[in-house]
Amino acid sequence: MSEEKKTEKTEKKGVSRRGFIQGAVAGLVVGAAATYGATTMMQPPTATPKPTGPVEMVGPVDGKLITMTINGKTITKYVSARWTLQKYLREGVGLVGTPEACDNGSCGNCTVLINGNPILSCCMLAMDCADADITTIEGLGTPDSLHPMQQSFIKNTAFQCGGCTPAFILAGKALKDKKSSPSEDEVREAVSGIICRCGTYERVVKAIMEA
Amino acid sequence: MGTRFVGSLEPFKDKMAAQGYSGLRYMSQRVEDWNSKSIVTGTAGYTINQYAPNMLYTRFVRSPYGSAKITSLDTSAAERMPGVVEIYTAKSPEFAGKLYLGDIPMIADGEVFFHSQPVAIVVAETQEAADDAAHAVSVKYEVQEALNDVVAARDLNPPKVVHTPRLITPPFEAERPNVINCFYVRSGDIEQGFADADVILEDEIECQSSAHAYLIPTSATAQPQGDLMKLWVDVQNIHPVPWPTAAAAAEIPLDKLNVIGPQIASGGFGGKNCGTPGPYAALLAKSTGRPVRVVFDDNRLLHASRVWLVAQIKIGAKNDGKFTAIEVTYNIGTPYAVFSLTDMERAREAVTCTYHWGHRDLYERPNVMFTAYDSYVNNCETMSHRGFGVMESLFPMEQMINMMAEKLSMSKLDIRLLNLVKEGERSAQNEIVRSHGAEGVQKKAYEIMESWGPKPSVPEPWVVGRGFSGGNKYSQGDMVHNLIFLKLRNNGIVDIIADSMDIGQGMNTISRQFVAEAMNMPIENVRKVEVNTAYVPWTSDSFSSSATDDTGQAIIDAAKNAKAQLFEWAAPKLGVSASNLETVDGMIQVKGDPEKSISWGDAMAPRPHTIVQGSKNWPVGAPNDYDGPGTNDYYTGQALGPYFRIVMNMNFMSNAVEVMINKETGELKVTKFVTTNDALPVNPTTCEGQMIGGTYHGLSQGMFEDYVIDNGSYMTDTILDYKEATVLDFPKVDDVHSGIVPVWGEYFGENPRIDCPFGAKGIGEGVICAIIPAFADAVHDAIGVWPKRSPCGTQYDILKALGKA
Repeated sequence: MSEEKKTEKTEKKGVSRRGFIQGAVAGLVVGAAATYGATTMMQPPTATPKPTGPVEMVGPVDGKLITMTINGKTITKYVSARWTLQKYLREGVGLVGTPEACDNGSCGNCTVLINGNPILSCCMLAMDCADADITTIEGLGTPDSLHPMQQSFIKNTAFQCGGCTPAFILAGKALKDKKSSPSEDEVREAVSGIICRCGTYERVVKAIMEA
Repeated sequence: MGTRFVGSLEPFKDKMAAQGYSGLRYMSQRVEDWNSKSIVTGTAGYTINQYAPNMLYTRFVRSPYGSAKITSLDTSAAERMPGVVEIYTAKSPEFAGKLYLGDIPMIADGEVFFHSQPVAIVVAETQEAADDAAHAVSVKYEVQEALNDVVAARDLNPPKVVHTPRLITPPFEAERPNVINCFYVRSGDIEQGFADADVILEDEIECQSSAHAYLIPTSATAQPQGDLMKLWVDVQNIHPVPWPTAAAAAEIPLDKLNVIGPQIASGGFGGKNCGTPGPYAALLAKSTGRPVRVVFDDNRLLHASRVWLVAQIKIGAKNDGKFTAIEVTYNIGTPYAVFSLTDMERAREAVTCTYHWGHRDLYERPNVMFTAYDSYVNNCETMSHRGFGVMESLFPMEQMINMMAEKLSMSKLDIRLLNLVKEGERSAQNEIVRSHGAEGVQKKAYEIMESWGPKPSVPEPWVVGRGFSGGNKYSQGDMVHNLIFLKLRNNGIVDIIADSMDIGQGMNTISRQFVAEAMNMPIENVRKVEVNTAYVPWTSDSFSSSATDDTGQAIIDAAKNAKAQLFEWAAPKLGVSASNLETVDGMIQVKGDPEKSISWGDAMAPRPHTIVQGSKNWPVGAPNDYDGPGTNDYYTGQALGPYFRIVMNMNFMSNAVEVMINKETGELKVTKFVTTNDALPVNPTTCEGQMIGGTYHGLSQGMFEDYVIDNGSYMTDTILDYKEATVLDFPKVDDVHSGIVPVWGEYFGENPRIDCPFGAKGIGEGVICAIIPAFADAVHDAIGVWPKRSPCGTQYDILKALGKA
């Protein structure tokens, strides 16, 4: 595309939602920088991305400001009517620990806790989460202070690529919060909606039971 | 927890220590996965998390048909939509005539040949704007009859000629208009072999095409920086494919394109090996001058798949179970050549159970006639998929052995042991067999299966069956591009600068173990740098289970160079000759005298750091893996000359499985399994993770994964429609067993493999290969019917086999 054509297009289309998108992009870049790093050293990260906190934003007509408690912090941000909770968490708040996976509710990898219950964040509209208490993997523990469920997953090496791991950890925590010593069958049932293509199920079950 | 057998490593310790290594303090230890803390806290560096300021989003418009002419393509309405920056088609100058991989065009021009082939690409300010505009692109198709049958496709007069004009004409069999290539193995006298047989079995067995079905889609983000382009890609390798294909697509010199890999590829299984969005992201970023993100989330199950294989097999054996002859015709197909050419090479290997440039084999087959056809069809794209060419081939091969064992009333183990190739013998392709761990792994799997005792009694109409299988899988290495750097810092830290990707198999972890073992230094002080073509040399790549072998060997070489450098600097400071020094716990000391030691920092002073390199020592004249057909005779497959293409290792494995089947409802449960492997474990925990995980993966395919195709349109194109195994589909924790039975003495023995790092073998793909035939054997054991097609474990499959559906 020529330089002239590019300028013309950008002006002509005058993106109506540009303002909020740039806001969203700024938020997500914070998350990306913390996880991916400007540094070239691939050390296990020590800093967990933090929510960016209450923000005053006025968005276009297709959304509104929504307040949620995310990982214990009250966050008010603009939410587009078509955003799923997954999209909002990742790109609106910068919490990329919740993966972008199947996006149609079949793999369970984007599981987060809403009011303590495991929910598929790709099948939940962010709008519908007003005033909800949400826990993502970033809210569970930090590398220096891991939650017992996270510790147990490390002890049992209950992961390979790690795509599904946040979901299993959160689902395991939700189960244990309700029942401290679940049976193997109860654990299997509780995590049966989460798919692990690497096939770590046996270790996941063991990790949750031992946590 | 079930059995976790690991062969004794004791004889190995002293030999390792005697050579200046740590004596297995780090090697073969259950070291914690280096990615663990980042994975459990959700902070791992996946490419899908890579965003850039002012970034553009994309959405592809893809063909819903397997074969169709594009009669009109109207983007005008979509172009006027808010947020749209540009819409590209095959007519756009940037894309005109550009190829993605092999002979696949980046955007289809006038005609589509497979479901999900791109016909237009929308670039917009937001993902939502791109999605909306993609819906507004109007494409009209004239749907054609699709050709999906891989057997009919290779006929002299096929139902349809897929590509006219023909894209590739093979050296022979050119009269078959869809055939891209064919491969042959001719060994011995096939007619005599069958004449000598007491029993001959002949059948057609099919292994389905299957999706990699990783859950996090492969993605790429490209960011222009002046005249440089940065490209983050979710890949299993950065050098051999993503780098040149993206540079070619974007017309950027290689030195101006920095490809950056993830901390961990989020599940690969071969599907993130080549078919990545990198070329699209780089081209679009160059064209728009802005960062561009491309996510293959709309064709995740179709952008790469295992080829659909139909095997026509005839085998002959004596009454005592000794094989006399095998005749096979293999049929696979693909819409474009891409990787299928090489897949066929592997298919040939699997039939004779030897990699054709390898030097190992599984079973003796004195008389072999093998013909394989790879044809153009209208199926979805095919690419490497875990167990590439072997998993699909082993199902028909091992199933025929199980059928022969039943026919001859032999045990499934005995017939295999009787026919195993022995160390040092020649394979059907005249290649020398070495490093053969098949006997150990097959015996161990069978032993563990027998330890389960008699089959449990179950209430009617449930029945129980058990099955068994052996197998092997080549590991194809990179013969030339194998270089790593170690950066030694004066505080005793070592950074590994190498591009072997961690794809969840533990590469970051075992690379550190190799360095710690070879340098005899604390593993806590070893790290691995981010993978970036700007400064990381072309090492091994994480495909073909080659990274352990390639990288490990290069690390051992680099460690030797590092010690030589450190000793040279330390010698005058300690007042001894360099040859009298050793490293112990990260210090440099006079051999056997801990009192006379100095730190690395003191030895290196005043230098803050230094870099050493290491590479793999291939024999002079060894052919480069990327240089063509190697030195096997094309018409017979026979190895020629002193060197043939080198298999880095042949990994041997075995599986046994127990199932419960309800003969009324067709319901099936896998109640127990065992997986064994002959790899010497760099990290037993990682190995067991691969073995058990690979068995899950393979069982999922053997049980129910399948594409449903309607005239070339894939009905099962999302994970919602494509059944993947969950935890409920598998045995309980106590019923999952594994056995690691390493091949001994190889590294220090009389006949050492030239290239194995401390005797270790790659393992990631072999673990999936033997399970389908074992599963099918169990199904037969339960219901008395031999499955002739994988998958064979759905209720429909079972009821159909029983004549009830």
